[in-house]
Amino acid sequence: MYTRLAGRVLLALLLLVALPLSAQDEGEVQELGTGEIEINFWSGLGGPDGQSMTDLITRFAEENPDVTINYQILGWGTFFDKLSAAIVAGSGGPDLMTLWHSVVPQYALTGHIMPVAEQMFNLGMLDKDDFSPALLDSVTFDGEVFPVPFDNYGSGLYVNTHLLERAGIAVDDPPEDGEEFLEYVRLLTWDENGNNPGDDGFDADNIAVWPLSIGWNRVTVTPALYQWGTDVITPAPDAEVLIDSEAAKAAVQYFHDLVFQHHVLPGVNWSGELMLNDGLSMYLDGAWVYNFYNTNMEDGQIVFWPYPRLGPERGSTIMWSHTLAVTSNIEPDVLDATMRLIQFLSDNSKEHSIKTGMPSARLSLRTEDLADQIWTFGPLTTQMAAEGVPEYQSERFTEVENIMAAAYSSIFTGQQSVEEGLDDAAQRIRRALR
Amino acid sequence: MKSKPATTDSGRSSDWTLTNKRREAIAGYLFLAPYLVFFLVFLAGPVISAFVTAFVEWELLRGTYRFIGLENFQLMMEDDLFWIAMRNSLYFALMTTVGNVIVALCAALALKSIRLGHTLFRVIMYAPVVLSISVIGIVFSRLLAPFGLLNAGLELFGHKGFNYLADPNLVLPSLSLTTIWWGFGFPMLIFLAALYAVPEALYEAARIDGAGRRQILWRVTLPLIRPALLFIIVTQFIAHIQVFGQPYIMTNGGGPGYSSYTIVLHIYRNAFSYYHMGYAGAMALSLGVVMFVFALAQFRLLGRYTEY
Repeated sequence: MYTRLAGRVLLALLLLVALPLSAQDEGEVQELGTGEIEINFWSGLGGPDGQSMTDLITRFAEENPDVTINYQILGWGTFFDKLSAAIVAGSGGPDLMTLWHSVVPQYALTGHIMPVAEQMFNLGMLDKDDFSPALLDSVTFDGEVFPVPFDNYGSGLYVNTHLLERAGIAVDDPPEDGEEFLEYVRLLTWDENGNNPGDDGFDADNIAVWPLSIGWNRVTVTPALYQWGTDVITPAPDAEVLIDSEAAKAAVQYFHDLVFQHHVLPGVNWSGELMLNDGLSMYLDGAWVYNFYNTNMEDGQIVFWPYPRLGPERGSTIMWSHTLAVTSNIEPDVLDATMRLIQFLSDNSKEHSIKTGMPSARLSLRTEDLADQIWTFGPLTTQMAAEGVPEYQSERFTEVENIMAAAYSSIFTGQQSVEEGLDDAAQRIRRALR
Repeated sequence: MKSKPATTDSGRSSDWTLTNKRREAIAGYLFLAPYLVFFLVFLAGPVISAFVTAFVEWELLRGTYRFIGLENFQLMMEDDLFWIAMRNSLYFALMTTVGNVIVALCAALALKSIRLGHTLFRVIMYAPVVLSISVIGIVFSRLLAPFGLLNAGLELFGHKGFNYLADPNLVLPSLSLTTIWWGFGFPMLIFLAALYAVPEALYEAARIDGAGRRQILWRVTLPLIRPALLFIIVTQFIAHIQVFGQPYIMTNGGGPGYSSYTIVLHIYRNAFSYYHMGYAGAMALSLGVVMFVFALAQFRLLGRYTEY
């Protein structure tokens, strides 16, 4: 117990020091290249993703001496607030920007970004068939594809192999359905005396190893909604609110039961760092966590399983993307250079995959050899190809998702029942969509 | 005829004086100009603009801008999140103001009573004020996390930890304590200055009359520092009802659920995340009115007694 406690204290101390330091580079403009044509590029990709992007841009600048890229990394927390203010102000904003595919509608439908992907497909700079049709559909408006998807990632289970071994579960045997998942979760929970839930003398108030934690409610619950055959809302323009449907309530109830009936899921979102000192068995989160584990874990300590099949209708995972979008008021000569840069980044996105674990949006660049280099790659891309679902299109996406985040949080911390939480959320979403 | 030259001389002299006065006035205005320009552009302008914004429908990304009268205020009345956020902000402001006044006053009294290390302790206690909310937020998020240092410390003594930032009942008190630790240095300095301004003779007289420590505090010290106390309460309340950074950084923007969702967060989100500038303007105006009413009430309650 004291070893684990000491480990936690040490980890907390390290993070106290590391977190403020890690934010140091954000906001600074890096001038890459010396050419006359200047591209202002704003990116929200930080950490290893940001470094990988910086490396690619530096190479592009070296190979294209006529171009200078003013590259600025902004934290996702304030990225869109700053971006919108700059776009509306009409100056000082970026020519090129990274956008989550989910927020593309609010910029595309208001005319602030241009259909650069469509233009590049027409010019033969990129092949439309080399992208997932579902992903392209999610960023298509009035028949035109707006931004170019750069990467394409999903979510799944990061699983601690030490604890799998202790529970007698094979590393290559992910759960088949919701029932088996519950059994795994039970086997992967231990109290201070080493008992599992259901054993005589199991002490639910003193759990030593939690079986499961969630990094982000949206990432966790959204695929479950699909698996129960529903979603938060239907896509624009005739957005219908679905989150108070019986199917949505059943999906959320599954997680509510994990918290309050089975006592195997803490209602709050814990960090997956606990996996590193064997204090947590499974962590349900997105592909972006790969790099953290890859850098910090012992060899083979963590493996990746697809998002489990929990619901009655279908299997599913999220299918999200960082896209490359171009502002509508870009100068023609800058647009030409910007399209060259986008093409370069897209063509080299396999290199980005290797460094970050984020699969390329280009299907031809998801080659089999990557599975040997990136331990999340195989299960992730296989499930995305078969069951991946991009989020609904809505100009009010940010508002709707903030409402949902608060609703999930309120339900999983016991402030509201599933019924109350989702009914309130539905009412607020309807108001937002008016 | 005789007086004409004199008149002319006198007239010249009068003109000359007026010109000097004018020149002085112009010089005065020129000296004032930088501040006036700053005041008009960065204070009066935005205040007037915010006032106007409250009565228009202004969707930032869509570019719509039209006068809609009181509709934003009507929307505000129907918005349950506005009321939740206002309630949370008032609760936080009251808790933090009271806590800050007590901690700052105790610290100031303690500092006044010690001789050795007075300056060192004053610097140490004031030091957190110079840190930014980002630093405070990140550090305290880690300290108060379920597996953070505070709970690890409690575990060492055999106590179970708490979910400070994820428990709906603990989150606002936790943010308040964080804020008190961060900000009590400033009111402490004001109190310290006020305490030093109290004539020592009054304390001596009280002691000769047989007053104990508690009586001296209640009957001498507190009445004499009432202007400082009023200033601290009003400014602290106005500052804390506008709390933003703490929930923004430490509780993912107001969680769990809406337990730490504050009015300035609601205004910020509506303005810069959802781009409803008009609606945000109406809420900002309403918050201004609430602050004004509370400040007025505090002046009435605390300022009505005789100043010594």
